[in-house]
Amino acid sequence: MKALIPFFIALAAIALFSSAKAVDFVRQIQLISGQTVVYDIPISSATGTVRSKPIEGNGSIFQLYAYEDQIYSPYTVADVNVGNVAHANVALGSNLVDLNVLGLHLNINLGEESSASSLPKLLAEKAVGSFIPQATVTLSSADPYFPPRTRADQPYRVKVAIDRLPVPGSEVPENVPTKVRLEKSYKLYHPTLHVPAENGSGQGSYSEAFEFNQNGTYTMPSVYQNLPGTSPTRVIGEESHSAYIRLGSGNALAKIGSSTIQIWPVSTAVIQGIQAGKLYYELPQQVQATLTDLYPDSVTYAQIYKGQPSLGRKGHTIPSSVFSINTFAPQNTVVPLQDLIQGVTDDGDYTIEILTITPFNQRQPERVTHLTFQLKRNIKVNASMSTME
Amino acid sequence: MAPATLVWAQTTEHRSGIGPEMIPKETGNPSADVITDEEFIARRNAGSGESSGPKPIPPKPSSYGLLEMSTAIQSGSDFMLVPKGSVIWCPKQHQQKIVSRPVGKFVGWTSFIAANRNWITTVEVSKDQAIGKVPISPEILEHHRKGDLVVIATLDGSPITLVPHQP
Repeated sequence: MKALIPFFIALAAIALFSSAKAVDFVRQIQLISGQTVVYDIPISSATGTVRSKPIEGNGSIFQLYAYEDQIYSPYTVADVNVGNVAHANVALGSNLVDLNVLGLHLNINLGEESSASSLPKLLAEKAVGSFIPQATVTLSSADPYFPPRTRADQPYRVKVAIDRLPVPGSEVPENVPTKVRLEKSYKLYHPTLHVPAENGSGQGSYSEAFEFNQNGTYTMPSVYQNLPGTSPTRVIGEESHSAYIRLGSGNALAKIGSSTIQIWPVSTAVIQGIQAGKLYYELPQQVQATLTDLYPDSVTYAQIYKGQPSLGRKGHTIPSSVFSINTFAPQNTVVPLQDLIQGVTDDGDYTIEILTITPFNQRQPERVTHLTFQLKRNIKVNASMSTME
Repeated sequence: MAPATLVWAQTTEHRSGIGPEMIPKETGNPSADVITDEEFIARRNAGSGESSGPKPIPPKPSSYGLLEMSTAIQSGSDFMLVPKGSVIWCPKQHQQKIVSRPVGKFVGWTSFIAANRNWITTVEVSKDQAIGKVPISPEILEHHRKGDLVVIATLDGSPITLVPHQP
């Protein structure tokens, strides 16, 4: 078997881009004649090459772990190449974002608090070997952002490319994997920190899985999230699709490919300072909109027009309400709806709508909420005057 | 309701900010209401072709998980994880430091070894010794077994499982 070992697997080149110091290590789990040999390779510099051992036996699993240093540092964004076989691009969701938008400070620190008792986190895992199939999982949505993300109500695409499964009828050694299993798992996020729970709660997998026994590229063009939650359009978290093979003496599942997509909630809006259906004799002055979970790539604004609600109408844009973000995670804000008078002509029914533009709906506005009120500023008085002599 | 199809929008990078100039020029009239939970469930079910999609279930234990494949060594409030089977000798007085559930702060290999040199040592092995093809010299093993240090097998200075030699 040794002659069949591709030499290029012997080198594991690890390129790391991180400000963190000595916080990563690669673990190689090697299966040799029913025995498991584990080898931990610390990485102490920002870039480097790690020399791993040639594969023998049925295969080897490479895992990349990271842990937080005493000095807080965000998790590594790593680009890991294990020979020419394995490639894992890891960009964790725990980005640090401290954004100032024209004086509005948005508190969106996504980093997890440093936890002294936490175990190193598995960033990437890949099984490689002479007879180990390859699988590349790719997730994508209408939002071209990387890492992949979508909105809770929007579908995403799953593409799985499988290679090196043995062709039926070909002679292969015993215990060589002949199937690739695709499983789906999830992690719920903290609603404001936008990261998974440190203690592992809110994580699980799904009851459904697929098995492939032939090489090829398989596409599921329209997959919807199934994150558990009372309101499915308001869930927040991530879903991962991972390809596994059965490996080793215990036929344990080893990961050969995976991809993760972040799922952000559908935004909500509440118009305050004005009541739906109410008759006003003058325009209210203190009107505002509370916007929650605005999609990370969105422009949200209010418009007003005369008449009852009618989807598709373009009204007067309320300039003070326009709020645009292009960032890593959803945001909340409150915008004033000032100078409504500019959108008002004569008296009658008026409708205020909150609209949002995101990568979805072909980047055309979607109506988040609306409200109609009645305006009657001119009071007609019917009176008569008489004199008494 | 027919399942929604994925339509790729054109990439239009936009800035964060406020004010009417933030609205893209190509913006048309509003063309949809955001979806309700009921509408979303109906759309999802129509897409999956069944009344209910995959059910969330508890996480499956990892077959090659970090703790499953490690030996944990505790030193006060710090701990280190080394490959399972890499501790080739542990004197009686240190056996309570080999724990199944480590607590406190994880410390990496290099730092942990440097800080605990007074009771941990390493023995360099070859690849063939690690995988059990070639035995370790009995003299070396005997030397360590007479000492009072915890002994960890290393390959090129990094900890590795030592599979017992099988003649």
